[in-house]
Amino acid sequence: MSELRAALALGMTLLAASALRGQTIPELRSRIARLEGAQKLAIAAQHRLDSARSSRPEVALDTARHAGLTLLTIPRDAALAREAVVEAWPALERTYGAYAAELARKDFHLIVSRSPDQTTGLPRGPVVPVIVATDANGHDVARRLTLSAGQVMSNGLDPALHGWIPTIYPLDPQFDEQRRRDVYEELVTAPWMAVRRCYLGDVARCRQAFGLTGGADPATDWYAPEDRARLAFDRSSRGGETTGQVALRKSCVDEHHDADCLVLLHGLPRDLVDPPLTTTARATLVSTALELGGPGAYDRLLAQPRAPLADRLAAAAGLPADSLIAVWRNRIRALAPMSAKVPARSAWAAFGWALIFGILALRSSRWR
Amino acid sequence: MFRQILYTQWKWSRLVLLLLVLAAFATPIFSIRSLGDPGIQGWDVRTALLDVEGWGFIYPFLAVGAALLLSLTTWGPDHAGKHVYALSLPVARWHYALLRFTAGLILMSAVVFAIWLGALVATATVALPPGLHRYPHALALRFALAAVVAYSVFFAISAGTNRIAGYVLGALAFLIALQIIAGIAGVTTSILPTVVGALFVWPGAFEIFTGRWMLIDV
Repeated sequence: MSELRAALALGMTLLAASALRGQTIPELRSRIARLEGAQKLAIAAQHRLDSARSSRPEVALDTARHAGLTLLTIPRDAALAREAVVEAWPALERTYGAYAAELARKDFHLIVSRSPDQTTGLPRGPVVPVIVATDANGHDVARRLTLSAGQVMSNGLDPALHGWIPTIYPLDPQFDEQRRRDVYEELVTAPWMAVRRCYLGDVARCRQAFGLTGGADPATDWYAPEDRARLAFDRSSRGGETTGQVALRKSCVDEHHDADCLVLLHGLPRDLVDPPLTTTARATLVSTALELGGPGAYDRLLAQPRAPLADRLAAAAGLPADSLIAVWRNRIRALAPMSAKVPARSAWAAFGWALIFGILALRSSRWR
Repeated sequence: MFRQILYTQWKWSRLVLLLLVLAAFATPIFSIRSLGDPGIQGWDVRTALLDVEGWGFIYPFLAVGAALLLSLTTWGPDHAGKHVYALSLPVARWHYALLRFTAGLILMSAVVFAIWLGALVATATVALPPGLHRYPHALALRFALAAVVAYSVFFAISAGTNRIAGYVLGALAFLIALQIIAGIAGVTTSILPTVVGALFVWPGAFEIFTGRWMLIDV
């Protein structure tokens, strides 16, 4: 550690002295050489410091750093880690803007899940694990790292936003596309009236399905009367109920008495009656807002924690909330799952293989 | 000559073929019975789709089964008769195999047609909620391609010598044994997953079997 300080002090001295010295070429070369020496000393000291973070002295730790990201790993995986931090940082910066700098306060630890008897190193102090498969490449590690970073960033969300969406993952075209396909399926198959009407193009119902309107009484603000028997059946606990609660449940679920359903639902903890659209769907709305909003979108999303969520999303996207929802819906509908259709390349591949096996059968010249 | 070959194959396989055609026609109809209620919505849609998906496992098995049975009935009598009939014909071996192959494909087309017809009948009888679509043609196409690939593989194995069939089975057994031995020795390897991936991921030979076999889907 003292070597690191010495190297830094030397560097600072040289920089401070530079204004007073002459600017001849030999002098400049000499100063560059000294700076390079100081840098080498600093790097060596940092490596010793990183290794000292290992809780087992016989296992050295290496560090990959880029901008605000620090990824600790065993030397065997150092190249993978370096590749990953360089790839991951731009995505994090694009998503979280200035807030991405907060990631510098956390260290991440790359763990390649080999056999249990092979060490992964165990750093001292708090680290965020980034666990990847044995065959992971730099891109895979970068994606896993950004997801872990997203979870770290979620600690900084205000309660209102965190209650609505637990984690805002970084923008990732491949990941977002998969999530949109899942949401398409959700829009079609979800049991809730608001979600189905949203699929059909009713933006006001989309707001309702996202839980962006009302919210004082979720059972009536977000769910239609025909949804409530199912909602009460899903969310209310079974076992340990009083005779009165059992009667209410029977009346609600079996006989569809809406007033009894409301009594049951009002008796549930607030967080059990969440918006009809899942957190995956909400995540796709947030990623659409961040994508449309460009630089500073995340800052705008977090800027007014007391404002209604619809207004915050609109501010992030730079569009009115209804326009944002319309764009979101169009994007979801544009990514309908491949479903049962046969991709042309699959058909051609099958045809080609059938031809190959057919020719092989014809080529055999022996009678058995 | 082709008509005679086709006729003999039809005679050898007509009972099997009849059963296959019936199964092929009935499967799509049974697969969508949970969507029979015109007022279906909400949770019922999800449940019904899961039911359709469950039936979807039958199609690839039916394709493989049909291919296996037809390729066996194609060559079975030849093998039993020590190929005397084939050798008595004034045609080259490749020509004879081509005739048999084509005749088998024509018989297979009856099974494919039954699937297509069954799918059309089944989808014509249901009213779907918004967002769900019918895929009778896509399902029939997928089935046809899968059946043809499987038939070509089984035909190639059946048309070859016992030694070739032995090599194929031996190679398979060798890979499984290698994976087991590596596991016991504590060597981290993924031989079988790699082979399976090569076969079942595009452009693998059996990728067509891995898609969504859904008659009704989003």
